[in-house]
Amino acid sequence: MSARKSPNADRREARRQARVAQEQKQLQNARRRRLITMISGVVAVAVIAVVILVIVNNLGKDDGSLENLPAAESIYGGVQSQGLTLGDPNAPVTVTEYADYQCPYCANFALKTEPKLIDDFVKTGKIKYVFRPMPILSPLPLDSDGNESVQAAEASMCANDQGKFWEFHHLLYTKQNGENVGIFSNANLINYAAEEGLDVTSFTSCLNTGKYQKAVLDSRAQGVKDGVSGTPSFDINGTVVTYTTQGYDKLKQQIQAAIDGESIPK
Amino acid sequence: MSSTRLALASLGLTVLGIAVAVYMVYIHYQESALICGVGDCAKVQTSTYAEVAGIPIAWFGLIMYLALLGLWIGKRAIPAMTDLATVGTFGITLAGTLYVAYLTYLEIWVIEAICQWCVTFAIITTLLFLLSALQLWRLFIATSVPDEPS
Repeated sequence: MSARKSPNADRREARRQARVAQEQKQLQNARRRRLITMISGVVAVAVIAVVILVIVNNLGKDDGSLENLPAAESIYGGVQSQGLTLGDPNAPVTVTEYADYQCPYCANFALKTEPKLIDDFVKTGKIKYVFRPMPILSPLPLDSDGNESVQAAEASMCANDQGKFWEFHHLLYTKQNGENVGIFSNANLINYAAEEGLDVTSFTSCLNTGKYQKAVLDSRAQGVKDGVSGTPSFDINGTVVTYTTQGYDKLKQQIQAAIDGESIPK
Repeated sequence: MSSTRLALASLGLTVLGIAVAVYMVYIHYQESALICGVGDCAKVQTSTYAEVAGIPIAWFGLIMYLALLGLWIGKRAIPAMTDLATVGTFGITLAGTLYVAYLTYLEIWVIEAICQWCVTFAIITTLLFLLSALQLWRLFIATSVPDEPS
């Protein structure tokens, strides 16, 4: 027969259990408070860290702004030109650029880098520089109305009829603002022609009759044949290279190699 | 979802995140063409927004996922780290989710181009945040001690 606990022992045991439960509850409460403090802390730190990252990410950002860049006159003024070719026709090296007027990289290149290239290589007589339209960015068929890549290229050739190819080429890139959004609709192109001081009647007739549609499509076909896979690309004395993240430094090196008669690094 | 499944899902997503981040760091340093292909411009990777103070964003992603892996291991190796690791994971994934939300905004409305690896990264990060929030909630509930009936 087991000995029965005294009522005092039962009460002591009950008090002990209550004390333990109380301590556990205090510990849990303390842990909970600690958790709440930690959560508040990490949420604050996370939000502050993201705000700092966003601010730093926007600091001194080149937003692709194409304002305050050299004007067409300062780039092409005084440079020998014949149609879509700039520079000495007898220069030992020919650099042909394939580009689409809707392509943002082409605009970036034309407005920011091309002036340097002209200063370094065209004005010095080392190369002649040829522009070839390579319309690739419109989802519409090449021969359809509304293909803005083709229309812009045709318009540049219509401007060439009035001896203003390079000025209009420059103007088109400054107008670029999104792809296939109507920036290069025929109506807008005619407005740009007026802005450039071209004879609007003959320009409009040239554009609306599709005078240079075949020339533009032939230029594109030639690019495809030469292995051009994107714009801007450059054919340097027969070797096609694409523009890379190494930018003008790489292109300069490639052109210099052609001038020096060396193989052109890809 | 059981705790084990939740932990395994978090580990799987973390490892996947590390793999995607490693790949994004790798392609950032490749000499890529700065061109538009037919109907497409590879704008995102070469965007000026792809770097913060000269450091490729992909590095931030990789460091974040390595920290998450460290916390995942630490939580299991050192039981005393449970609270810290759970809250830390929640904080890191919260920051990650807020930042990828900002980057997605940039892709859609500023750069106007979507990069599929960035989207993959954003989805993994958001899922990890949701899992870490669930784990934190469970931990919080576990610390609740019901009042004894009077």
